[in-house]
Amino acid sequence: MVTSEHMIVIVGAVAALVLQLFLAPYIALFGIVPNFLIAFAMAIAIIRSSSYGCVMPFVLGLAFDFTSGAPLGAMALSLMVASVVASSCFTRFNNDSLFMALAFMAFGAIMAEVLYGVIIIATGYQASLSGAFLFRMLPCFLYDFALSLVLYLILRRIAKPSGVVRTELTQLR
Amino acid sequence: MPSFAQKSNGSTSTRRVLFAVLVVVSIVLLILYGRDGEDGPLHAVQASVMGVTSQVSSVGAGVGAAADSASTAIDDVTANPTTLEGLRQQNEELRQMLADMDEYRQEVDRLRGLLDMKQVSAVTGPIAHVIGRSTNAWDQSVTIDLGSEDGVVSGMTVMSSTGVIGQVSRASEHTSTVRLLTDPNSGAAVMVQSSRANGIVRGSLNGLLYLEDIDEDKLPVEGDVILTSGLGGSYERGLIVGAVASVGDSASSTSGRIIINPNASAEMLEEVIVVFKAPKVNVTAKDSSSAKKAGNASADEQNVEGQEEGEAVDVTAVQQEDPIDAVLLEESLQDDQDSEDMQAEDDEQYNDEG
Repeated sequence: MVTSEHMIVIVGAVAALVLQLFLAPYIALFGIVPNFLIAFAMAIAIIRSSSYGCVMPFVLGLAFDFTSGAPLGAMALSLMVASVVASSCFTRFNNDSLFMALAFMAFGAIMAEVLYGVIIIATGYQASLSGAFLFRMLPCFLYDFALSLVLYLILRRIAKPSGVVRTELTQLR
Repeated sequence: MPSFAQKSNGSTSTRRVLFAVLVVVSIVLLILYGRDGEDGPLHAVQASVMGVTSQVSSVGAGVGAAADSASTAIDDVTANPTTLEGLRQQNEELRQMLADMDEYRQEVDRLRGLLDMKQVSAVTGPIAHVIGRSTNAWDQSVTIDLGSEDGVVSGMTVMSSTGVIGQVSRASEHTSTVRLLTDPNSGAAVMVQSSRANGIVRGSLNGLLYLEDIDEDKLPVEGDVILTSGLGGSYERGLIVGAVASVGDSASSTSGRIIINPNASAEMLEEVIVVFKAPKVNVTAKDSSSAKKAGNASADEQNVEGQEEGEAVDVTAVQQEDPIDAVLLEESLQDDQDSEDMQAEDDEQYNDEG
């Protein structure tokens, strides 16, 4: 069943894809095109870490692969793995501080960029791993992280899961 | 009725299974995509999706203009309002007209440059508008508004007003993707115009063009013009790629670096020529002079039109007109003389054997 919380995430994901297609190429800095999908997925992974699934990042990544000409499955796999890992780690180590949220968002973003870079180099991209890290992964990560920070600050007010704490009644007894 | 803990465990295990399934799906997709040829179904679907999205992606081009307008608006607000009141009304129409005129003038200049390049290099092919740029940081490409219905096919050379910028990597019905020379996956067989040494120009992640695999004895110097050699058939022969910007100290070794000035960056491209056909004999001495005047010496095999027709060519006369042309002409004559000598030797040897 699609709830209003799901709707917020779906609308946000579509908006991120639209921004990636129509805005990202025009705000590139020194050839570094930002990735709104990574930024959005990481922000949601941290905000909704307790209920974060893997379908949304997979679908977003696949949409990116189809529209960008990248090897199909590359971004789908990278985005899904990185965001799920970041979300799981954050759930485990969360201490309600902003620092932890930012740290795991950064961890997820760089993981997504590195995984994606490794996959496309493995599929025939003509670049060395060190060069790719220096000239693509690192600058892209910085740009993505800046975007995810902005998105996190916006989305945590509107996309935060409802604060109902479900308890196990049998355990209470 | 299942307890919350049971539900939670069930949900977690479902998520894990789903995650594993999607990981497998991604890997299978990657493998299938890798094995799929350029004309395969996955590539075809991707090209169709890209064709659709790129047609509407030019909307984003207005974003830059909008940002400029916003900046101007902020400046206006912070200025004296009484002074601006009269001027704003008076100048509003003029500004709009000026902006329009400037836009037209720039477009005319760009198109004139392209036409000059077409004339100088004697290539045939339509002019296309750049309607989109890559949405992926790893991919240095642009989308143009001509596709397979306009006769564009994968592999065609694409030029700007200053020379070769890349080749068509994917053509859908109405749009095509042009992979720029600066993309790390690009590689063009080239030659140095002065020494005729062959090499390969490759793009890189840092946006520079590198000349590789060049003969140690024929290393270029700064300013040498680099042309496509046509070897391998991926690019049309004799088109200008750029000029040597710097030659590293260890250029002859494998780690050596010869950097070429690229013709254009993706951000600056607005119109391009898709080369349908390039002539076998590219440039005459006269054409070369025009190329210089257009800002770039054009490509050539340095064959002389007059000589092909059996007419004598006066080097001295050309030298008086343009010394650079004379050098090109002398080189051309020397090349032709050499090839004639070799041909004569071959014929002689053949006759002896016969």
